[in-house]
Amino acid sequence: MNGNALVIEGLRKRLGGVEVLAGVDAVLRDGGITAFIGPNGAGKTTLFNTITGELKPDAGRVIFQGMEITGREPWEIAGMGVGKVFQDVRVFPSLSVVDNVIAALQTHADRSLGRSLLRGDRSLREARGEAEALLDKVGVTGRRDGPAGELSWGNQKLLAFARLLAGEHRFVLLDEPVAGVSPALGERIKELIRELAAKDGVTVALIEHDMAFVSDLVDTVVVLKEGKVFDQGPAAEVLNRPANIELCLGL
Amino acid sequence: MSLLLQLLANGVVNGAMFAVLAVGFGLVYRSIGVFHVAYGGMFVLAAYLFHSLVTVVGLGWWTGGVMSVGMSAAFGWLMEKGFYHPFFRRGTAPGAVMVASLGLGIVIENLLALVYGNEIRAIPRDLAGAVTLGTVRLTTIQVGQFVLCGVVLAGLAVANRLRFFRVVRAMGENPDLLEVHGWRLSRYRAWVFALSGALAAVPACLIMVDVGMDVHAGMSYLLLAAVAVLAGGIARMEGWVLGGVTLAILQSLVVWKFSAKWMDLVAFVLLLAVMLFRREGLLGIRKRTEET
Amino acid sequence: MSIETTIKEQKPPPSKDDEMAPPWMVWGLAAVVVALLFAWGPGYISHLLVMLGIYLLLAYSLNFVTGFGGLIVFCHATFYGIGAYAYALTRLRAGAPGSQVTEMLWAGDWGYLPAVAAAGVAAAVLAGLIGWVSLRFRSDYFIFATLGFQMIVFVVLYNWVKLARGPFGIYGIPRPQVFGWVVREPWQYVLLGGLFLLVLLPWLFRLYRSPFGLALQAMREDERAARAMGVNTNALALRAMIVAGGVAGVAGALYAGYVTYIDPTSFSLRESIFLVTLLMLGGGGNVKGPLVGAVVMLTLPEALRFVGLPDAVAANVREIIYGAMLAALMYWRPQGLAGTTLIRT
Repeated sequence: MNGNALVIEGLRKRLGGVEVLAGVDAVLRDGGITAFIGPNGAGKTTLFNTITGELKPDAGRVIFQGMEITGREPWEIAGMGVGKVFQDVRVFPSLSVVDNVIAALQTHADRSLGRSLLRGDRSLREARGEAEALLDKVGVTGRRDGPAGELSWGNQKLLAFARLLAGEHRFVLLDEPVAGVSPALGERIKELIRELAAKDGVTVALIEHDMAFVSDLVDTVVVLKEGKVFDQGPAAEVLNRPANIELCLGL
Repeated sequence: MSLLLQLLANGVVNGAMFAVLAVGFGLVYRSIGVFHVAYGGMFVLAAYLFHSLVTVVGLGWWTGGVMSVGMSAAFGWLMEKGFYHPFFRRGTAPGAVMVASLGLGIVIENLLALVYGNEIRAIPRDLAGAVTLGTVRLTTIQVGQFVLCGVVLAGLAVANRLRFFRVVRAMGENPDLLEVHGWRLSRYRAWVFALSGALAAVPACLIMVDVGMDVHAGMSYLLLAAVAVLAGGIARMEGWVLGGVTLAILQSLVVWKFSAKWMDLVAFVLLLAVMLFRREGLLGIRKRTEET
Repeated sequence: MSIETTIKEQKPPPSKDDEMAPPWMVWGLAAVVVALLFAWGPGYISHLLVMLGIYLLLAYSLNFVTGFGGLIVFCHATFYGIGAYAYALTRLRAGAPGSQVTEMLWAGDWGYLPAVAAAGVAAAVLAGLIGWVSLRFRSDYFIFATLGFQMIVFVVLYNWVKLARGPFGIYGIPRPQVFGWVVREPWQYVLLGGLFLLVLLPWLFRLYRSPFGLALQAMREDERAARAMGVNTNALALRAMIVAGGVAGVAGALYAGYVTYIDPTSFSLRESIFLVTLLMLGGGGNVKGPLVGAVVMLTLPEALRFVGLPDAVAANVREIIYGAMLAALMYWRPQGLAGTTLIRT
C-alpha cells in the first residue's frame, strides 16, 4: 500500500485577524512517521485542527487517502479513520480511567439510540477486557476505576494514547506527544509510536519541539514557518540544514 | 396610517430606552464574558429605589433619579466584589455562573416583592402634558424619556473613545494579556458592573415614572437587553443600540399588525431569526469564533 | 474565548469518591422528611406521592440532558406543559360534557393510552424543534435560547385562546381510564404513577448505562475530545433532548389527568427554574441525585407552610430560597447533594 495518506493543497486559515495558515502544501505518504516542526505560532496545531475538521479552512483542500475531507465535521473524519491526540490531552476527567477507553472502543453503531435501548450496557461490559488490555499495554499506573482527572500528567498522556489505540485508526495525529513528560516516559511513548507506525497501513503525523525525540523517531520532516511550508524532506537531511536549525532553535 | 406613525413614534422612544438598557448588559457581556442575568434584578431594584425615594422620602423626580442611578452603580460595584468575583477566582464554568446569576436575580426580585408586594407599582402623578408632531402625540414624559436616553447614548458615544472603554473592549478579547501589562482586571470589572447598574437605572426610573412596573418585570427587561445585544452584534456598542431600537420598532409593528398581546414574542423571534441567519448579529464582525 | 480556556485550566480535579453529601446532612434531611410525613395524614401523603411520581419523571428526564449531557436547559417545563395540553386536548370530549369545547379549535375523544402516547409524542416533537434550533449555539447562548423558547411557548399558550383557552385554562379534563378502571381516588393515582415509573424508568436507566449514555457523558466532559473520538455530538444531544422531552410529556399527561384543570402558569419559566434547581440540588449524572432533589424540593414548600408563613408571602420566600440555593450550589457544590463526581459504568 503505497499511496498518499494525506494531501494538503493550499490550505489557508485566518484566526482572529491573523492568517495562521498562509497556503500550506504537503504530501504524506502511506506508512511512516512525519514530524511537523517549526517555531511557535507557525501554525502547526492549527494545521492539525484543520485536518481533523475542528476548523474549516478559508481556502485549500485536504485529501485523505483519495477522499476529500475538506470542511467535513470532526466526527465524520474520525469515522473515516483519522485519530488524534490533543496537545492538552483532554481525557474525560470525571469518567473513570477504564471508561475513558471503553468509550473510545464503542463504534458509531453501538452508540446509536436504538442499539443502546436494545442492548443496554452489554457492549460496555464486553469492552472492559479489551480496555484493560490497552491500559496494560501503554502502561497506565494508578487506579483504573478512579477518575481520569486525578491521574498524573504522564499517565494522562498514556491514557490518551490508549484511547487513540482503541480507535484503530489508519492515520494518526499526535500534537506534542511528549511535552512535559519525564525522559523515561518519553522513551516509552516513542516506543509506542514506533509500534503503532510499524503496523500495516498506519501513518503517523506528529508535532514536536524536542528535536532529539524527532530525529530518533521520524522518517520525514515538514518545517512550518509563518503558516507556510518552509522545508520538507527526509528527516536526516532536513534536520541538519542550518536554516532549519536556526529557525527552530533560535527562538 | 396615523396609527402606524404613532406606534412608530412610541417605538422610537422605547428604542432609546432599550438602547441604554442594552448597553448596560452588553458592557458586562463584552468585557467579562458573563451573561449578567441578575441585571434584571438590578433593573427593578433601581426602579423601586426610585419609587421609594420619590413617594416615601419625598424627593423630586430629578433628585430621586440621580440618587437611584448612584445607588445602582454602588450596588453594581458590590455585586462584582461580593458575588461575581468569588466565582472568577474559583474558575467556575460560564454556564454555572449564569445559573448562579439567575439565582441572584430571583433573590433580588422576590426580596423586593416581600417589601413592595407583587403588583404593579407606579408613581402617583398628574396627567402628563402632550406634545404633538403632526398626527403623532407624545406625552412630555415620553419626550423626556427620549431626550434623556439620547443624552446618555451621546455621552457613551463620546466616552467610547476614552481609555476606560478601550480597556473594557480589550478585556473581552484578551484578558490574560492585560494582566501581563499590569491592568488590575478585578478593579476594572467592578467599575464595569457599576456602570452597568447605573445604565440600567436610567430606563428603570423613566419607566417607573411613566407606567410603573411590578417586581417580576426584571426578567422580561433582561431578555430585551440580552436580545438587543445578541441580535445587534456583541462586538460593538453601536450594534447594541441598533438592536435595542430595532426591537422597539418591531414591537410597535407587531402591535400595529397583530395585537399587543404578541409583543413579548417579538424579542425571541427576532433573536432566533438573527441567530439562524446572521450569527454575528446585525453589526457584528464576521469571524468564525471557533475554539482556540 | 480565552476566558473559557483559563477557567478550564483552573478547575480543580474532582476529589475522591465523595458521591454523597456529608452524613449529617443526609440524616438531617431524612429526619425532616420523616417528621413532616408524620405531621400529615394519609390523604396528603398520597397527594405527595403522586406529585413525586410526576416529578421523578421530570427529574430523571432532565437528568439525561443536563446531568449526563451537561446541557443546562430552561425549557423543560414546556415539554411538561405540551404533554399536559396534548393529553387534555386529545381526551377532552371523552369525559364530562364541557361547553368550553365549542369554542376551541379542536378537541378529541381518545382513549387513555393513546392520549398519553400523544402527550409523549407531542412533547418529543417540540423537544426536537427546540433542540434543533438551540443546539446551533454554544454554551451560554444555548442556555439563553432554551430560555427564550420557554417564553415563546408560554406566550403562545397564554395568548392563543382558540387553541388552548389561554389564561382561562382547560377544566374538566377526563381522568385516566385503563381497561375500564377509572382512576379517581388518590391512592389509585399513586398506583398509576407507580406503574408509569415502573414502565418508563427502567428504559431511561438503561440508556443512562448504555454506550449512548457514555457518549453523552463524554460530550459533557469534553466535547472536542468526544468529537475527535467519532461522536456526532450535535445529533447525540438532539436525540437526548427528544427522549427527555417525550418522558416529560408523559409526566404532563399524568399531571393533567390528576388535577383535571390546567393553565399555562403551571408550565412557565418559573417551573423550568424549579426543575433546574431540583436537579442542581440533588445532583445529576446518576440515579440517586434526581431522587434526592425531587424529595427535597417537594417537601420544602410543605416545611415552609409548617413554619406558618402566610400564603401570599410564601411564594416569594420559596423563590428566594430557590434562587439562593442555585447560587450557593453553583459555588460550593456544583455536583449537588448526591450527584456524581465520579462516574462508573
